[in-house]
Amino acid sequence: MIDKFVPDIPAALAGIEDGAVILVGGFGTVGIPNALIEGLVDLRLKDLTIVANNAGAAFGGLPKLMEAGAVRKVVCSYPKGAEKSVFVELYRDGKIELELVPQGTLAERIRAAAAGVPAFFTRTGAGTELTAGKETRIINGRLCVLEEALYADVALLESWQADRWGNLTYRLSGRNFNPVMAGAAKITIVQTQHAVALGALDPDHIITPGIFINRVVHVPYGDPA
Amino acid sequence: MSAATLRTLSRDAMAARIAADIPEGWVVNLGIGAPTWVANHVPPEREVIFHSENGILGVGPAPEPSQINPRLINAGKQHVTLRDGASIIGHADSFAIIRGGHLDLAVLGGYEVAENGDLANWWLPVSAGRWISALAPSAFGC
Repeated sequence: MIDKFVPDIPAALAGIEDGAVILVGGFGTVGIPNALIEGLVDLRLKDLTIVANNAGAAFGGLPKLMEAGAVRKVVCSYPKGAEKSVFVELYRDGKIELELVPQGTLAERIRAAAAGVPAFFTRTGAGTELTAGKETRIINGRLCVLEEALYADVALLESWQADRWGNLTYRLSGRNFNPVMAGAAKITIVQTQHAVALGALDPDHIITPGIFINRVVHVPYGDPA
Repeated sequence: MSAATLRTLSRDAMAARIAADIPEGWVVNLGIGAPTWVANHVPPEREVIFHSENGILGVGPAPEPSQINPRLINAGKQHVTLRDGASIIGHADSFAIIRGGHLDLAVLGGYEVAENGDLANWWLPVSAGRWISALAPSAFGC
């Protein structure tokens, strides 16, 4: 029997080591696997690289992880928010590294990793300081830059529903980066709002097939803050 | 025309002015900040499909307090509504729309704009008193 459900957060996060590259789903306050991130804080890890679109924001679990000194580097498209954040202060003080990636390039680098595409050309950022030093090529008369797949050790996702095979649905703006991150890391771990029986999800409505998922933990936390 | 002679409009008036120019049937990305207000100014009978980079096609006006769904936000993290015909997508598809040339228009917010049109949307301190300016995701993601 295939059963990817694990009983609790420590079981979900077992085996994550210092220096891991971790993809974290979510955009704004929605679709963030906050219970898994808070579980990471408890593991007292060091030198993590966090790949998360809104990694510089003041909300969600990531500021706690940064405050705990667990994060060496952040890869994101938008490293700040409306409010003062732990990331902005650490960055100003030179205590954390930042790799700024245009949002579509970030999604595509992650998708490429999941799809076995080592690198791809894109026009975004070509010829600018943001992509300095990267290989370029003129394709169809336009300057393009080579962007490499972004491989990770761990992906942490949040879903709306999950069954024991790891088949997932998402809810409204909670989808965002979660499906593209599934399968882009050596191990993909999901916290799900609802656990449902195998067969309960309409195959036409499953957004992420369970083959991309390794572990699922049921965290019925309610609405996002 | 120099910056000093430009007439100042409120954010809402700017949004209404932009909305007045958008033809029916267009697919329009709204950047974070003031551009998100444009969705409040297109009358429902004029069918414009607003795209939010976080994966919404068919953003409607801002909700009344009783209509707020905590799981439905735009790229500026504000609560929004969906109009009939709306769909939800993930980030790979959302940026395929942008980079694949499927938008008719993108409305961007500006933090600093140079006379030659160079645009910065936000800034980040790099040390005490120094900062860098940069483009918002939907801007440099185009």
